[in-house]
Amino acid sequence: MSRYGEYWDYVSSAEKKARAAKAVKSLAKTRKLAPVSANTQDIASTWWGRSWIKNLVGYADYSSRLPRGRTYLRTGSVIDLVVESGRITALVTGSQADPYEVSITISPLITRTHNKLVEKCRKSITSLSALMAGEFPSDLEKSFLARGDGLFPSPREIRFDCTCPDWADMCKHVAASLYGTAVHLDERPELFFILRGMKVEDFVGTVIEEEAREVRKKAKVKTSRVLSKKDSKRLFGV
Amino acid sequence: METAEQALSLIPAVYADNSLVLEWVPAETKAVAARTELEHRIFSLFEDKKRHKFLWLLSLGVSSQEIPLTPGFSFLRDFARLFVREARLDSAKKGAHSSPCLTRSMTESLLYERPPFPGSGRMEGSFLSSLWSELGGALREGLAAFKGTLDEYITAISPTGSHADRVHFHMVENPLDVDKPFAFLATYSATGEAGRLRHILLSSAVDELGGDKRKLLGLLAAVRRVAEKSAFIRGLLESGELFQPIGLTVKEAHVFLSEALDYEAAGILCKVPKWWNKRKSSFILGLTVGKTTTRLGADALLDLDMRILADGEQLSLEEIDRLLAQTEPMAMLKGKWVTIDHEALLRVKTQFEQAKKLVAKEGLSIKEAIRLILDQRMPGLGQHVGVEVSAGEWLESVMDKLKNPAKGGKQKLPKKLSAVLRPYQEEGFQWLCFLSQLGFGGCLADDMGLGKTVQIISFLLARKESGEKKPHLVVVPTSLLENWKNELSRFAPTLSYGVLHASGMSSDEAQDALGGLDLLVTTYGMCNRLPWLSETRFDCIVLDEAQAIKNASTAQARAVKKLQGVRRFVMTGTPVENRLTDLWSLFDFVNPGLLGTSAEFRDYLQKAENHPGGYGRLRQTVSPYILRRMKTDKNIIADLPEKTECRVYADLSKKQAVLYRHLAEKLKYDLLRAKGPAKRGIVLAYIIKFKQLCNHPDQYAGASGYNVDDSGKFMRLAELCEKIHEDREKVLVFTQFTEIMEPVSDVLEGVFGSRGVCLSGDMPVAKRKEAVNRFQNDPSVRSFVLSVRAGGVGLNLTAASQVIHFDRWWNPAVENQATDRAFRIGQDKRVLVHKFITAGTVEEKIDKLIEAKKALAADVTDSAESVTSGLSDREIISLFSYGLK
Repeated sequence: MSRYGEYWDYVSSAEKKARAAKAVKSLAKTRKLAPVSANTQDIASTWWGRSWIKNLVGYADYSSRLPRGRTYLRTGSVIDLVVESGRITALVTGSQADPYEVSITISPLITRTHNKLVEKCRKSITSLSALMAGEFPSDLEKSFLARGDGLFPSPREIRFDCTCPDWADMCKHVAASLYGTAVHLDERPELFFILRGMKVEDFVGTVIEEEAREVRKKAKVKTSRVLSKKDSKRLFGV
Repeated sequence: METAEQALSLIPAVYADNSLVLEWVPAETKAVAARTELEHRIFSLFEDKKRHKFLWLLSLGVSSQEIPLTPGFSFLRDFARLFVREARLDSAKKGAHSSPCLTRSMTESLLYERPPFPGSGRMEGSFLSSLWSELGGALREGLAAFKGTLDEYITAISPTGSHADRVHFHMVENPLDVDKPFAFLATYSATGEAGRLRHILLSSAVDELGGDKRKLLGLLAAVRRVAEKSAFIRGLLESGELFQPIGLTVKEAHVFLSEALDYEAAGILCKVPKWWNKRKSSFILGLTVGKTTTRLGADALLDLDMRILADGEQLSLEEIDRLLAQTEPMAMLKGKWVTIDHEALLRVKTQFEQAKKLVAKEGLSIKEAIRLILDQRMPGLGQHVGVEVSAGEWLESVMDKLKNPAKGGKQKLPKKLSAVLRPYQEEGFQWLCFLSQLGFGGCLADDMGLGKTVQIISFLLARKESGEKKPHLVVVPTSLLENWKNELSRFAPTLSYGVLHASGMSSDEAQDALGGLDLLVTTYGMCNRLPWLSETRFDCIVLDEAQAIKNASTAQARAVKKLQGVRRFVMTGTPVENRLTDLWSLFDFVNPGLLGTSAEFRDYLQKAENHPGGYGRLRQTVSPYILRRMKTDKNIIADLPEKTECRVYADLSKKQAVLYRHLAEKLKYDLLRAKGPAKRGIVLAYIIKFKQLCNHPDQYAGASGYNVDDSGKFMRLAELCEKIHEDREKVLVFTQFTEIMEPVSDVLEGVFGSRGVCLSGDMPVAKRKEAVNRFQNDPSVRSFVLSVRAGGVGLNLTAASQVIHFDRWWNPAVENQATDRAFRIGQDKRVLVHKFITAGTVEEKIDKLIEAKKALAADVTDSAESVTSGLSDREIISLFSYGLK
């Protein structure tokens, strides 16, 4: 009982590879390409890359496209992938001679979510230096990856476009591009922020500012055991 | 306070169960403040059971390299530094999940650099690699809890890390405030002009750092981190008091102090009052015994002073009760804060009261006192935690004098002593007198050849001259009877002595004569056989070669221990202090009870095995009663002649004795039948035969086999070489008979465990050279057997410090020439020469003849031929007869 879509689409891996190679060859003459592929069984090796993949399921109205997207990525069909602020664009080779153009648009983080995240991160402030150093400490996992309140766009905040004839919103080319994004995320976790129109430094800066404001506020409180300036000078010389 | 105490430094020790332990030992170098501080920090981490077992090592590894530490401790720092370096390199490659590895070449170079410290021999490759993985565990555990980057963590735990841009918690005493006697303040150390640190309030720092996101984050993160760990700090953070100087109650201060290490683990630098880091918060029962004494002498009674101590301060019972009544965790005591452990306090109070009841009013004898110091506990107190026994001034000075005989008393040497004692011998004499005065026995364990006998004889003579009427008893192995007789006559002609042995008085004769004797010499065997000996009260009992009683369960040892004497001394040439199991039996004779029962002692040794300090205390306990000087000691060597000669007497074995008598009969027969000049030839031929027989019956019979037990000399050779082996020295053995060189070599191989070399006259030159080379340079070649003729000239055998003349040439010039092979002009080694003589035989008689002649003319170049020439038949027959009297 084969399904219609699978039948007309069936192309061997070798053929896909050959097609991709041909497209790369002709396109490389005119522009610089950033191809993505995955050779290992697991596309992403870090916890955040994997989380991204896990999250994809939530976007797919036809989940059958997802495994094909993975195959596309493995066979090197994603011949170009660029992640920018709020946008992923990709070229994916398919059944036609020219590669399909994929465009994924993600809307910026809304203020309410942003403020919530800042609040949460204040509690995990000890992990922020690692974030600044380019790591994505697992301590922040809950805050960043919470559905709805985290960095992942909800289905309403993400839009897929592809030049292929597939009617599904998320076709296999989009799926391949999303998988390809996981590979990028593995290496550069700050892309999470970029995709939501933010910069890590700015975000961390906001958290620090909030925390500092809190300290300033607290430092003004006077309780009964606070020592006088005179005593403090006598005891500590400060 | 710091200066008055003895400076201590930290060393590592690896115990028998492979555990790595830090111990304080008296410092060899002057205390350096930075070193002391680092050591205390590391030690408090080491003692803190809440943290990873090896956090202290990790922390040591990230401390400053500039601070000098003890070699062992410094080695550990290098080891941990290496780990941290590898962890950093690895994490740059693999991120947070690094696991650096210890390569084989790293292990090898570490092992090569390993300095000596207690148990350092156990620190092998496998030990290092398990230590390495423990460090990995400590790092992983610490890093997971810390939640920062590796570099941040390393800075945080470094005990000597940079103090710049860090959060500091200060706690000080505030004596003006009764309710809140402590004060707390958090500051930030900002880098000011010219890199100088400026402490400012945290809130001011937040303002100042506004522009520097990274530093500001560091500050805020440190505060959050520590608040996560400590409820106390969290409370201060929530109330905002963390950002102000505040007063603390005793309880709060105690919480702060107890948690300070946690704060440091979170990257905060804590400044706490000095007394906290130095605290040994336990209360102990301090016993000082022997501050003064009622009188000097064997029956001296020592006072026992008992105190309860807290941090070295004495507490009265009232103070204890006051402390017990209070609920605060710390209390001010004599101007110092102490932590109060109710349980420990109660225990020490009970012990104090018990101990008071136990101590008899009249005081302790010196023996009891010293035993107390060894045990570090009062008998009857049960649990012996929290008791510290120390020697008081007087006892200390007594023990000091015992350990350093040079500081000892100035007893006059006996008037009738006809020997000039060398300086160290006089010290030994003084030591014996001092010990005896205190009522103790002792063990004179000087090296062979240093003249133990003359020291003992001087002491015994001094006892007589001081008016002591009871006779002394000297117990020796049969082979030493002759030496004792010689030395007694030579050094103390006024001391009347008798020899109770088959070769001397019979049991009845000795018993009758005893009243008129100053001294009786007998053998171990006799003690075992004659019960009346143990019923006689002697003045001093001296055992020579006291290893004879090292095994307490033998009949011989038991018989000897039954002897009754006011003072007991033993002599031995073996290093007794290295044979702990033999020590007990010797001390059971010399100072019974000092080392407890044999079961207690075994128990003690077992415990000491896991605690190097235990051996130290044992050594301290026994060392006053053991005097052992070695001939290599710098102080001794100057007093020694470069060559010391002694005679070693051997007995004939039963087989030898039978053959000897038979041979003597034959000589008589042949001699009386011969005429004129032929007699001379006969005598000379017989001399050779007698010598061969004295060496070994198989040599005389031309047989093979050479059973050691068949020859007295072979047995003595083995005995003597055992001692030489004990000190790992090398020996030359001269003989004039090529045929026994192999059998002698066999005996030596058995003793030394490795084959020595041989040299006979018929050896080709190349082989000779090789033999000499091996003896001189190969440490495993310990003996050299050579014929007097072959080895007499032109050989350089300076590796030897012992020379044995197995049979005698009787020509001092020839023997000396051979002996001198072991010398080189100007070398500072001392050589001990042993001349073997079979007692009661022609060997001994000719030796005596030559000695007598020597007494008349200093330079005697006699030989057997010249000695025997001119003797009548009867004289010759008596010369060759066998008789021990």
